[in-house]
Amino acid sequence: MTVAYLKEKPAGQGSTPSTPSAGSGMRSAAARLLGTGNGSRALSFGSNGTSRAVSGSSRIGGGIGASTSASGSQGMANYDGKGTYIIFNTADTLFISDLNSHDKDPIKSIHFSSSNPLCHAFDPEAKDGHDLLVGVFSGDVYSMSLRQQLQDPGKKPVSYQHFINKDKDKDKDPSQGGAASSRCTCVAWVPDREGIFVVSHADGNLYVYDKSKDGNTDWTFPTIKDQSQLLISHAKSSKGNPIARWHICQGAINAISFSPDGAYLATVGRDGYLRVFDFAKEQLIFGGKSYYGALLCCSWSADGKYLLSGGEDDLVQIWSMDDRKIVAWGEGHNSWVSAVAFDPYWSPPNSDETEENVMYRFGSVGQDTQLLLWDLALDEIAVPLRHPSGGSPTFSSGSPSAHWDNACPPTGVLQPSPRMRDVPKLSPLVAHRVHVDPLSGLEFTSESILTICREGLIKIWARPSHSENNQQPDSSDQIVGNATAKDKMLTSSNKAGTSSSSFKQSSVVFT
Amino acid sequence: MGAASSRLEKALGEQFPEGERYFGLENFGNTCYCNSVLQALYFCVPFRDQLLEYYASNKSTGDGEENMLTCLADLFSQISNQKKKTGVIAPKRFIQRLKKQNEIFRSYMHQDAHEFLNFLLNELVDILEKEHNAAKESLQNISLQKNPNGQPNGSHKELAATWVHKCFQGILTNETRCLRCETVTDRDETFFDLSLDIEQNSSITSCLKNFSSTETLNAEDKFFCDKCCSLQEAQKRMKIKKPPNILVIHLKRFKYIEQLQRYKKLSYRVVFPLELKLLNTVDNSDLEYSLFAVVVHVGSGPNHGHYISLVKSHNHWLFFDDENVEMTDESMVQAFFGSPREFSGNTDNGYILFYESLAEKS
Repeated sequence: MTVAYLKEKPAGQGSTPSTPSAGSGMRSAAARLLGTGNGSRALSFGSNGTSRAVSGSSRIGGGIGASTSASGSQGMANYDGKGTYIIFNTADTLFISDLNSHDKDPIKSIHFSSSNPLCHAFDPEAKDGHDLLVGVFSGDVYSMSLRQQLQDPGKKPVSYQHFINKDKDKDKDPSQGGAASSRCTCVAWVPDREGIFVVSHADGNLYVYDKSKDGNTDWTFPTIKDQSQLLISHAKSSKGNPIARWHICQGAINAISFSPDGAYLATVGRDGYLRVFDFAKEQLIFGGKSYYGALLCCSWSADGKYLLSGGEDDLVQIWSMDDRKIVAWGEGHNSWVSAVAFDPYWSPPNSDETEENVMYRFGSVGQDTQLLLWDLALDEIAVPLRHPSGGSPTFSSGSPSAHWDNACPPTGVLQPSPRMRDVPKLSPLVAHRVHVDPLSGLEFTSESILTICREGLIKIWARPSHSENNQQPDSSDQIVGNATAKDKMLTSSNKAGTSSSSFKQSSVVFT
Repeated sequence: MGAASSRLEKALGEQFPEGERYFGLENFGNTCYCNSVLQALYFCVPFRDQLLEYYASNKSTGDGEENMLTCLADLFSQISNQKKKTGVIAPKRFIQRLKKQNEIFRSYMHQDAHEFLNFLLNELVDILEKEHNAAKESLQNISLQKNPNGQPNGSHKELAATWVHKCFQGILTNETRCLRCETVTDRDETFFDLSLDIEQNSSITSCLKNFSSTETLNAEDKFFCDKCCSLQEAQKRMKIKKPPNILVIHLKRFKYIEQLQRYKKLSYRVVFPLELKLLNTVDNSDLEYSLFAVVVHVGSGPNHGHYISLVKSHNHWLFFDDENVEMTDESMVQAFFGSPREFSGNTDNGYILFYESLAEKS
């Protein structure tokens, strides 16, 4: 699930506005498709692969702008204006819904006949139109313009570019059942590098593409001899795509995330390691391991100082870029953690500028159907925290355990799993079962928190202070969680400005 | 069958592990509960090695009476000495012996794979201990203490640790803290597997946490404190004192429902990672385990259905369904987690999980 902030169409770019009637036609077409979309495959290789869109501060402006123009964009179906859209995929279809419309049925569904879409990414800063990436099961990637898709009444992607993954047949492992090993797991635009994007795969490879270059090339990359070694190869020809291949790890890369400035790339994978690379230098900065099992998701803080990861040990790991290591574990999920994200819109209550009390709010969703919200207060991390679960010895105040190495590790070192007793633990602020099915994605917007489950159902949780309709006079910024804690789920994302007075639906069902 | 076997060989090609055999087991009428567990045990390498060693050392004497141990050793040696790399074997003698030995397994009804595993391991231990004692002719006071709770399945006191013990046995400790005098009473018990209560949309990690969660004994269920010499409120929890080398986890998917007066199968989605650490150990050992076999129950009810197993051998995952053996992928394991909602159709659920300690290997 991606929240896409589509900007106003730049002047001078020609496009054919679609007829107003096309809008309603699309809607009913989408509804019909939805019926079939539910069946789902017996074996889903992480459908709804949630793509962490290039996150952060650059979006805040867009988000607020979008909400004000939302009512305007409702009327005109040519999608030339600003808009905020939710993009998500289930089975063979990519759906697009208007976040600001009350009718949350998808306004567009794009059917991929040859290979199921698994992940996607949107770049609000894209200059030449192609801002949407879709990675599919076969390992191929498509780039296209979100606006053009919205303007087209059909069910197929229009004016897209198809990037073929040539390596997919070469390394076909019989144990992997054919193409499954090269399936896309995540796509991401490189922030501040116009037209450059990366795609991660289940075979441990990551490819770098340049959308301005040819989609097809005859060049193939050398065979990987040692699956467990990092190997970065560049294409010989400067014309074609992909321009580089990074073989990162044995087994799947489950998720990737760029730091907001585009300098660093984080990957997490089946081998349980988080790795952080200097993307331009193509150099491993540091890495560390889960407590056990694969890591499934990762995400950066808006300032690029902290990273979150989550995985099969039911933990949320908080990593510090400065210290190059884990600073805390979040304990609270009862199953695997499938998505993590910092809340870029949250600011600490009574923030006192003089104090060095940096705080972050973040969220996580898991296969336990829960949404958890957490506070990370760094002054509390330094003095180790209490251990709610018991079992681990409590830290003596101020002095970290002897096992807990405070020295910053040298560049390029992968650290093993820390010991349970050595890592400070965090407890969630709020824990709430938000869906019936296991969750797969989480997004923060300026007014709401979006959660999506594996079946493709999205729920939108409004922030108390941003909704005029919320009956909490004393709600302030810091209690985003209270809305969920008190079971006041706000459903359709009621924006200030749209004058709805009640929340009719309890949930917004997309598929 | 032959075609399937050659397909497996073809699929593995040069990667076919040296000296390894992948044989399906014939079904003699609802004996899949047996076959699925036997495959998991066969690919439990320390167990197999010990059993084959036992077979080799006992073959020479040749006088021994037939029992479950000799039948199992025969079967394993038969598989490992096959000329062909793949095929099908009929575990006829083993099944006959099993039916002779225990009337529960005599019928052609659907049986519980966990019950069979439990019976088999205890039977093997009994036989080994008898042999051991006979050999030693020592007249130590052998007290086969049945543990009072009857909860963990290995109920033998550790008198002579057999190789079965060395593979599977762990020790649980039951910590009870009297809330009046604060005295902590520890009572140890051994186990061959952990039977875990399960919850919908949870993980094995979470089930293990619940297994060791603190329970308050009060009201009707007070604890007799030796120090206070009276019934007192107390807090109790189970922790793992000695983690086993092979950790067998049984998911309690068959639950007796009071209102229905019968057992019901819980198809809950319980995820299990390929690597696992125990969070509920006494000394925070951080010992890492790796999943190598899953016995899967297929079907919606407790009294019918089918058992299959997924097994990891030399870093390849294999799928055993009675006679059939197929290559599969690691990611197939997640197809057997269960269904996130009731009545949603997926009834192929992981039932017994086999994890091996990675410390043992290195």
